[in-house]
Amino acid sequence: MHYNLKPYRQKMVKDLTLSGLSKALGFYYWTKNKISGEEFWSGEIYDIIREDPSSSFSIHEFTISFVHENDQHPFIEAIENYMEYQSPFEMEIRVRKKNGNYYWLQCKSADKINDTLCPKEHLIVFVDINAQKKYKMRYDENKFFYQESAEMTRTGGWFIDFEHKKTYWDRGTRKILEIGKDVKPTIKNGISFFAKGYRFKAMKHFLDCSLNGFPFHIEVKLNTSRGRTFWAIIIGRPIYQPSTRKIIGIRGVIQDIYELKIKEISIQKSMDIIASQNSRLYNFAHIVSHNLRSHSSNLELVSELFKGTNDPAEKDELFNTVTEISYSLNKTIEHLNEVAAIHTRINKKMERVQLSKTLQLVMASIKQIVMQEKAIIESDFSEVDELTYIPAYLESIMLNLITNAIKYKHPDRIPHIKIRSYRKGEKIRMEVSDNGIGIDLETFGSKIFGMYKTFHQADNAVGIGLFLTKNQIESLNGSIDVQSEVGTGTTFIINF
Amino acid sequence: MSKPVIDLACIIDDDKIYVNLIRKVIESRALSKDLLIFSNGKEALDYFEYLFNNFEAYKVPNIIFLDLNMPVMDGWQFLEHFMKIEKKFKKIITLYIVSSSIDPVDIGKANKLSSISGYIIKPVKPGELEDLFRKKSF
Repeated sequence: MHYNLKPYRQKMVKDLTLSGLSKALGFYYWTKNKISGEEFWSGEIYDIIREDPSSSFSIHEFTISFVHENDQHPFIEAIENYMEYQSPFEMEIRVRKKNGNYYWLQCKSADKINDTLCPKEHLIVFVDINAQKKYKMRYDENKFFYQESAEMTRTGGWFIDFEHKKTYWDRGTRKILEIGKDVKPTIKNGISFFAKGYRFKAMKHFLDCSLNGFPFHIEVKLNTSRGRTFWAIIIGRPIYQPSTRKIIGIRGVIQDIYELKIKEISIQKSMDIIASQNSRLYNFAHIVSHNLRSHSSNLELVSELFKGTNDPAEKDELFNTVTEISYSLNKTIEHLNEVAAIHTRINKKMERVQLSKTLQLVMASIKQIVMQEKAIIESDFSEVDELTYIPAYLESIMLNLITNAIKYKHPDRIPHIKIRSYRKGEKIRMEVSDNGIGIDLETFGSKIFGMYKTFHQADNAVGIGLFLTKNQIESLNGSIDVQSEVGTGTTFIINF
Repeated sequence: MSKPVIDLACIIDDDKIYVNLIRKVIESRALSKDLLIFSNGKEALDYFEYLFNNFEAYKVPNIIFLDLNMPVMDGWQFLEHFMKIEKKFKKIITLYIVSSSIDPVDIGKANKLSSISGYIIKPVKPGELEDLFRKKSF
């Protein structure tokens, strides 16, 4: 028997080598004889596309039938260039499986191996990169979500590695702290971002975490490298060496909550305003009911007595009481009207007004008592004289505070009243101080601005002035405070 | 005129109209022999503190009607001081809060204090007032 073994052996060797390799390394291949044009697919490709191994198809047919339409054109072009000009290529394509899903393959023209293994054939190797590709896609997706959510929530990550004595800040952290790549991440640099008053607190938590493994969640004030101060939440957790359970680092996140904090503060402000308005409303309702009730109950009592007597003189007297009651009732209603008017603020416009001119108006209206009491009234509006306010309110506030000061003068002194205005931050302040008898704030402090509260046994004390003043000031978002020393004098401070 | 129900009543209230009317009721019905009237807590407290140091039994009232809302020193502030010296007077002093306040906070506070025998919401009916005096005389 004589066989020409040579081509057979060659084919076998090639097949053995390639198919052996392909099986061992998990790749597929395609060959095309340069002379006969015969094409060959390694068997495993059929497994992927789930086609019957007996069916045969050219690389073009394969491309049209199984390659994802977006990959078809570049793939064909690459193959043609390779076969015609021997230009090598490497690309990733998606191949459709029988169930309709796509499978990622990397394909590579193996020109050099080609020469040694099968010089007469074109060879393309396909490597299964589906798992890798999917992992990469998931990784990209995760990275995208991480970056987007970090961006959206203004969050960054950091890591202190004790073993290698290194600190890491990610992009988010650097962005929050407004630092470039040039600033070296070190613990020392990290601490420098904490605002004064927060460094010790932060260091205590970092130490507690690294020594005792206590995780932390703190709200701190930080300064960026550009000097912007902001609020941040920092969360940190210890990292343990799995085998020794030794703490080998701290990992955590930092979140810029400046905007949240600003919103929180503004909500808190609105809540405070609502709460104070509510308490004023409640107070007002209480005043209305109390003050009206006292008159109505007197009326009721009079009518009871009226029924119980036949004495005409007594009846006359009781009738006089009715007149008295109706007078007081009227007064009370007048006062309540004044209070209610402040809160409805009808026909009252904010205008530019001068403190000095308002004082002149007030002085003109109280010329009589000022002269009578020989009161000295000094004013200094040099720092700030003009403000936007309701003129009638300003007048009423000044009038009340000045007449108050005169009313509660010290018996041994002539009243001396000093009024001055100045700026405090963005606010305008006015102080009215006197040398009067003063008031015991410890006893009366909370009541001084209440309605019908008088603290001195003066006959002309009505107890409505300061109540109105406070209401007027607060209705325009200002505040009024009082400082006083019994026997020395009183100072009212108004924040407009 | 019949014998007064009690010897000495005390009214602490700043509402002059009310005080006058109550006085009329007490006088016309002969509810009390004498009447002490103070227009605020401070005036009343001054009296009791003086009495504390210069004790004379007949000057201690049998019954007190105390208003809450008053200038200078209100009813609560008066009570705070009064309760400290009350025992010294060796006499059962019946104390009623008489107020137009219907604030449940006030009423609740009054119920907690053992020195207070009752909380009367104004207006006071002459008949009810008389009952309080008669109850006291037993």
